[in-house]
Amino acid sequence: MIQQYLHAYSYIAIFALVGLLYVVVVLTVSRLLAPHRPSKEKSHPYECGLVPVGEPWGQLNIRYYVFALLFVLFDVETVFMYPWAVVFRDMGWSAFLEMFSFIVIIALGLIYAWKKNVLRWV
Amino acid sequence: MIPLTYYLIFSAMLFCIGVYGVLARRNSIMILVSIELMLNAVNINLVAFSAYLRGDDPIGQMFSLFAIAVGAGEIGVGLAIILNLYRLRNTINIDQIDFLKW
Amino acid sequence: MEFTLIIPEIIVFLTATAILILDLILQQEKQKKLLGFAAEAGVILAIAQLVRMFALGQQASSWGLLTIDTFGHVIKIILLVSTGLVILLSVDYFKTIISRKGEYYCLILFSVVGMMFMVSADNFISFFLSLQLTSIPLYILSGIDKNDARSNEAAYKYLMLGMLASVVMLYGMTFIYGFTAAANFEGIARQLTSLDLHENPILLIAMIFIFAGFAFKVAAVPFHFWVPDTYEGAPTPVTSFLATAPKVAGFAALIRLLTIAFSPLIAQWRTLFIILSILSMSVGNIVALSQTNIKRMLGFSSVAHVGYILMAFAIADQMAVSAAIFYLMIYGIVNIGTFAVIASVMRGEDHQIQGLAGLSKRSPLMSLSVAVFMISMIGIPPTPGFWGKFNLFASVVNGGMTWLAVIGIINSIISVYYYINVLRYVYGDQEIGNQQDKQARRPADPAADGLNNIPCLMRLAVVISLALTIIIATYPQPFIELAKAAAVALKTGLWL
Repeated sequence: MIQQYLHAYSYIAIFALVGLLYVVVVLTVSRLLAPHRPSKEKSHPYECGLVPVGEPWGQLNIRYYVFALLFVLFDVETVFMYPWAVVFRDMGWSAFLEMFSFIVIIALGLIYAWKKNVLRWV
Repeated sequence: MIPLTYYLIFSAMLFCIGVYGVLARRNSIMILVSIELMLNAVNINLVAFSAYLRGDDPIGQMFSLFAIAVGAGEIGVGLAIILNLYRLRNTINIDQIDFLKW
Repeated sequence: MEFTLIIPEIIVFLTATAILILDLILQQEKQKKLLGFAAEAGVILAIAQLVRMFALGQQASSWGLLTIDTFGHVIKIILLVSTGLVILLSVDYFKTIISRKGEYYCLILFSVVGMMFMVSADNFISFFLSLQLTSIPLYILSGIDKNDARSNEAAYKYLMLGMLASVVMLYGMTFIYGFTAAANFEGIARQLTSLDLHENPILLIAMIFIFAGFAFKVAAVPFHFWVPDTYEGAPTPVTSFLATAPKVAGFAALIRLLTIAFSPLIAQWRTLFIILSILSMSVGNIVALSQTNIKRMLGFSSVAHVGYILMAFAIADQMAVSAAIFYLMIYGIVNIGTFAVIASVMRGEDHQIQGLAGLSKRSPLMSLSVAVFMISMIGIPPTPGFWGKFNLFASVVNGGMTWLAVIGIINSIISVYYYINVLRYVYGDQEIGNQQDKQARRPADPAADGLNNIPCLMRLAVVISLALTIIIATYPQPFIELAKAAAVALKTGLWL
């Protein structure tokens, strides 16, 4: 049993080893071949070609929280749609109606939040 | 084939790490994260059992989908309450949330 | 698909969504009172439908993941009656406090839908979902007063411990599922009988995990730590809701789980409930003695009442279960009545028991109600509390655990002190504290000051609770029959 178990993991071990080796090889090769002429501009962290502003550990605006939260909630609701899509053909209209009411209920919540100006960037 | 026990031990370890986090951490957000860890232990258990039971019992998988969705909703409410707490008290350290005595 | 079986739930749910939409349509603050009336109408409609279904007396029928039976109807009627009273109480209480009233009623109704499904759930999946549908709105409700740090802290503590409890419970469920390969209660019972797993330690631990979750939801010692803080911090109508409806639903779900799914393991869980019950009543009563805040005191007293009800599970025969259901009815009405009085006479105060001093002079109706409710909680005849306790203790003695009943009676005697203490303030003529003290206590809100202008809806809530209490006191028989019918309807292996 345990041998089987270890055997199953040996693929992963080999894969990890090859991956590691690849990184080491590529980095050494690039170090050996690439020209080395450092300047102040080049040592800046890359930020879409602009000069970076502020600390790298800057805090995000708390207003993003609402959007992040809404995203997580709606993202998770999709979880139910995959099993639904699998059986949809067999179940027909009743499956459609159930998913329809599910989405209507969620949409109602979204509309409420929208109307109460939760989504507005103030 | 990996035996079921390995999954169960893994999920038990995850659960224990979560319990430790809940007990040892003072930051509310970290406590939420620890609870989420425990929820993941539950999901691993459910999926593992469902795969190893006679004839691939689908109930466990279904259950874990519901647990994930409900857990997300719970965390959403939790974050909202903690955010409001921060707004009112300027702290999310559970040792300092003591207006109401224990 | 028999949708007719869950019409009451559908009514409550549609009312909740209608309130949400109505809240968007109504622009003026004055019209918002309508939302409360809409909620009340929905609840009454659902009660009417439940009574009709109860009167038809259909056989228990399975619908998807739910079992619709007489047991469920009776518990749901108790739930909805207490919800109706809470909504009545809220309309005037929240007139100035919260700005988004639609959300308040909507959350209460969603929570009730969850409870109604929880009572009917006969499967771990539906049970877990409805439990969460019950709990999540309750977390928000206890923090509904967003600008009050105490209310927020109440919500925070309830949420943290509640999430932990539900995860622990879920972890226990996964092991039961893993052992039995079933998630529905009857299937679990069948598997447990055939597999002969009685001595399996993991099964016992899984069961303890599940009971820990339940003990949290109904607030039994040692899972009661959230109770005093959340009761104190939450707005009073929310406290009255927290103290009654989730407990009724939690106990109903526990009854269904124990008598159906875990019936083969009765020898194992009995001991657990004896311990839980003794701990709950003793700790609840002893800690309540030293409380000066009335909401905290009632919190601990509710822990003690939970302890009495848990005695029924130590016996777990038909008589004990019906006594527990009857006790729940009385507990719900009396508790809501007490909180209704507190909400109407102590608005904007800090809820110290001294605040009730001289109430008898200021408002005879309120002081009479407090007296009736307190005496009922002690269990002195002829109040309904007496009938409830009498039935419960009788069933425990009948089940052969006289010593447990004796502990219960000793605890009831301890509880006399703190309940009478409240009445000492209400009826005593000594004005506690000097004049200056009273000036300092005087709240800023003028509406809270004059007791003469208690809003009529709050008065109505108190009067209805008082009337129900008096009706049960004089005619307990029909209500006992109702509880018995509920217990008989359970499809359990324990007493069929």
